[in-house]
Amino acid sequence: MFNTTLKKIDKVLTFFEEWTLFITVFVSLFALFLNVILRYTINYSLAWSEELVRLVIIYTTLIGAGVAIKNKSMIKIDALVQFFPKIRKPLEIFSNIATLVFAVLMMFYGFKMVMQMVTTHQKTIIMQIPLSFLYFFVPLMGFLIFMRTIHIIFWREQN
Amino acid sequence: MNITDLIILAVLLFCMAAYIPVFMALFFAALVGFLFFTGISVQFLAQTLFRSLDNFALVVVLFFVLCGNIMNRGSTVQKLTNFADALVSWLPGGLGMTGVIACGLFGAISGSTVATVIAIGGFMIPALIKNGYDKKYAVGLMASSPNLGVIIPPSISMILYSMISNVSLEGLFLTGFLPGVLITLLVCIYSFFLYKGKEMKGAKKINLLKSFKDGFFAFMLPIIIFGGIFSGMFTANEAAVVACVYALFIELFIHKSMKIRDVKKVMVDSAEMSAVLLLIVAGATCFGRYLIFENVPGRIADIILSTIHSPFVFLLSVNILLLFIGMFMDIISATLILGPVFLPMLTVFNIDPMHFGLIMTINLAIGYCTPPMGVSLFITGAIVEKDIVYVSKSVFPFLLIQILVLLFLTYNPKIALFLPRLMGFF
Repeated sequence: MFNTTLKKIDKVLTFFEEWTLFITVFVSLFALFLNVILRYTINYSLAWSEELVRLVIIYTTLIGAGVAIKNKSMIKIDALVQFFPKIRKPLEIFSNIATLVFAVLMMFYGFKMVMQMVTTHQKTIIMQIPLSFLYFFVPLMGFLIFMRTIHIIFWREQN
Repeated sequence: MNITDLIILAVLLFCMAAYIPVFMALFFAALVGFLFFTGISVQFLAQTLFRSLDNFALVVVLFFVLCGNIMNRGSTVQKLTNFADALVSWLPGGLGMTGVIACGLFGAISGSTVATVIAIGGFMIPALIKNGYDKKYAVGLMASSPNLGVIIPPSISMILYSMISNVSLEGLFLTGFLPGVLITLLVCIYSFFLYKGKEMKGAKKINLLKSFKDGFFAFMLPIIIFGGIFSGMFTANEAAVVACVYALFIELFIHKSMKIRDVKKVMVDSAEMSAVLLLIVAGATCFGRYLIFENVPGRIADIILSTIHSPFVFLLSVNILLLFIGMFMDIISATLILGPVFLPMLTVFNIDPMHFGLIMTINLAIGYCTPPMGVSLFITGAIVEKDIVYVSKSVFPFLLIQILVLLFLTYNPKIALFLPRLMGFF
């Protein structure tokens, strides 16, 4: 029962992450390429492209964090684990707990920052995107990391 | 060094040793520092984490990663390796030369050491052993050559160094070619004399012209990237974007080695890989903010400047220190944390920041295969199922070559900076 719920959540999150990451990377590649072409042909540059790309970098990094946690591709220092393979298991548990703490911190303080931005109504200069929307990626990252770590912890024990 | 510095250092080392992802380890160390020793709220740190990513310059990382992944997924890497093979495999020790040249070519597009060890070492080590090469030679070669990926541009650590030091990225890229070529050449010469007069099985006849024709569109890629950057036609990030579009185009429509549906997978993978790298940038920024707040770089500079007086001794101690740190720490966080510590001292010793960026990059890259802790040693050790002592011994001659090149370029700044000066980036 619990297992199928985990699977379902994982499916939804993967779908969301993969499609949004694909679209953001694709759009930024397209926008920057268009910018190069325009600069060389009619000597015109798109003012919004730089802002868009900054948004994309923030988005891919914060949301990609969830994917990296799930695929266990985060860079870790594994010298100690390599020398003493026996302590791998307890260290992994400890590191998962630390990751959960980090995720909760990001959700809590990220949300606080979003609320601050909502009250001050700040917007980006060219595209007029509310900053609260951009800051929202921080608690979202916390949420994704949290769910992925829960998945890693419990999935292993089920099998 | 006072007691708070030691506590923070202990927290950082403990988190890293405890298998916590590096970026979180950096974040936690900064968190402990800010919480207990400064009284600034955690929200400031969360804000720093977010703000450090709001930087247009970082887009280069994403697109060079994407470009490397497209070529890896498609057939470009294979074609480049085939050409290297056709070029040198008839010589004594030729297959070994193919290995190091393949690492150089792969490094020229991917910029990641660990990826190169797995991608090229995974098939080169068995191939070398099968063709009668000494196992020790095969292991040493494939543990050390992937360092070229970091040294030969486009290199991600160079991108980040130029960001923190305001050194011209194009110029810094140019300095990377000389050590790249020198190391490749010396390893080839070493292989040549090691296997001279021995009958090897791998020496097959491959048509040079055919493999060149076959790989023609693949060869155009480095030409577009570097020709574009160094002629001043593109900035580094425009070159990365154009290279991505070009690589996508040739893999989809000319080599036909990728399907449309692979595009999504490649882009998601690249976003993930760049996220892993940029999160470390964010973590290192948070930690760096704490260091600056406590004036740690300034205090370290005071200690060093009062004890060391000659540039020669300074550079030598930097070489040794970075070799040591490169073993434990990944190159990105090491560059971002130590860069700001060293940069203010350079003017005192009259060292050029661009030259220092090159030294730092080669130095930290060598750390990947320095016994007893280098990451590459463990990966190659796992491939051949040998322990760390065996791999450490086998990597020794190759390590020596790289250290010699490093020392040569450290103490000959004129030669190290010759290319950027020639092209007007210095």
